[in-house]
Amino acid sequence: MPDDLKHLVDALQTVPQEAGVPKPDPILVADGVRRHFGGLTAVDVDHVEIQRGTITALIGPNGAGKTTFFNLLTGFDKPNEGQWTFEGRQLAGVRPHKVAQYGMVRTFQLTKALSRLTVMENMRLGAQDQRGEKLFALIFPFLWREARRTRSPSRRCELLASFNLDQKRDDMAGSLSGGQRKLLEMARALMVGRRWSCSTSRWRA
Amino acid sequence: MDWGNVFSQAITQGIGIQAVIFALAAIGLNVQFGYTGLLNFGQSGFLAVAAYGLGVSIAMMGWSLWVGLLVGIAAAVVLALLLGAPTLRLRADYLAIVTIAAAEILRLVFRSVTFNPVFGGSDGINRFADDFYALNPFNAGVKIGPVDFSENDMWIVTIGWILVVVMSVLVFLMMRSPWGRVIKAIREDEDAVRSLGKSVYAYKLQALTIGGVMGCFGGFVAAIALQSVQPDYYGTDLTFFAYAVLILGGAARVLGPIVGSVVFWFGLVLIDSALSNAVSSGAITFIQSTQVGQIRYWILGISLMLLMIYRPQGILGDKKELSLDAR
Repeated sequence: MPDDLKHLVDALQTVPQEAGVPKPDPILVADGVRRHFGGLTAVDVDHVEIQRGTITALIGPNGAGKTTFFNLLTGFDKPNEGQWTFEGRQLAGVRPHKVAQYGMVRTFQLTKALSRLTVMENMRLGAQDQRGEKLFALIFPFLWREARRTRSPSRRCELLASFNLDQKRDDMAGSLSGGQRKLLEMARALMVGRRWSCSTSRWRA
Repeated sequence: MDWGNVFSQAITQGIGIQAVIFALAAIGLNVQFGYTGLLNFGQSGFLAVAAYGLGVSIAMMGWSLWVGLLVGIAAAVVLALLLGAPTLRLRADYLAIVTIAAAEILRLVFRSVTFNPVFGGSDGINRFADDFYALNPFNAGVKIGPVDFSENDMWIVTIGWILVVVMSVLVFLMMRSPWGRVIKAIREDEDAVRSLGKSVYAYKLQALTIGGVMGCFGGFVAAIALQSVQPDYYGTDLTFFAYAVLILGGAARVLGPIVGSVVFWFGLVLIDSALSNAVSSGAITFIQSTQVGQIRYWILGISLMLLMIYRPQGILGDKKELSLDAR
């Protein structure tokens, strides 16, 4: 483990190992989040805190409600009740794209690579505040060309390199293998926000 | 049989008014369906509101041609917002249902007896485009090889093809930009785009409106070329022919609608005039000349089915790209 990350682990050393325990520096705090589908209660979370700067796993058997909880937190589904804050910002009722803009980016259990876009286009899509994505700027390339040139491409390339996808940058995302698509989805999510990404996936033995 | 005349008619229609109208309608559909993946089954409604906007402004209100065009465009924008705002947050099917119903409602309102004084009932509105033909720089008909246009046809066809080129260039510029990248990504998977911080709803509404406005120019061309707006021209078959044109040429290709429209109308008129020529010259005796109109659609339908089986990507499409669709 790199030394500059060691303090993150040390911070959790004193935390008791029980459900819903307070963390020293939480990035996400959820309270009383519940989601019912008819008579079935899919999610019932009293209190949870996620520590900043670490990788936290949510585990449980099939049907425990892990994916539903992710959907709720990221705005893709609405809870029947509950509040949660991300970096101190109330996120209940916020639309999914806003949640992503605030820095909480999700990936999907069934990988959503954008098949008929190239790997590089997938990555470019992740960047925020692009002037060329505005309707009224689009037919005036001089308005967004400049911005695109000055925006450092190094982050895209760095990410692609660290996910071992830099050889594939001009291939269609749909031509990648299943594993590579998952990697691309992660890399793309990291293009959006630097703060937190949550991904839901099922691991096969 | 007079093959020279048969081909002359087919080529003239292949680059004629119908080809222009359907190319424009299909360019709009290409933005909506081809690039964004929106199932707009009411493209005829966009053409209808534009044509009626123009016709009513000039014939009933006595406004000028230019005001009429602006009214038509405004009507198309309003229609797109009305259709899109409630449905684009829902699953894709709802837009399809609402658009096809709205287009039929519009057609029935335009032909209803109640609104006869405004929309002219089933006769529609006639002879309102004299302003347009007053601008005609052609003072004689044009006959080059097999192509034969009257002076008025030549004028509207010229303007029509200029419009087609302008729209196609716009589509090319739009889809090359980062905006187009978001649009194409929405076609692939809108939840993924949402998770990347883009307001999918706003983009879909923009694409629906742009496609509707582009298609509405087909309504202007139709209204001006025929000097009349008739409600039954804007039925569901207009929409489905426009889809046939788009898929024939290749969806999500800038030139797809143009190639599709030319091939579609060339083929349809070729079958039609070849058959009626064969019947009248006695080469075919088992059908009558009155049946040719139906039989050409049989042959067209069979050809489209064969196309879907053997070349589902259309004339300009890329089969490899189509096969990536399976996720």
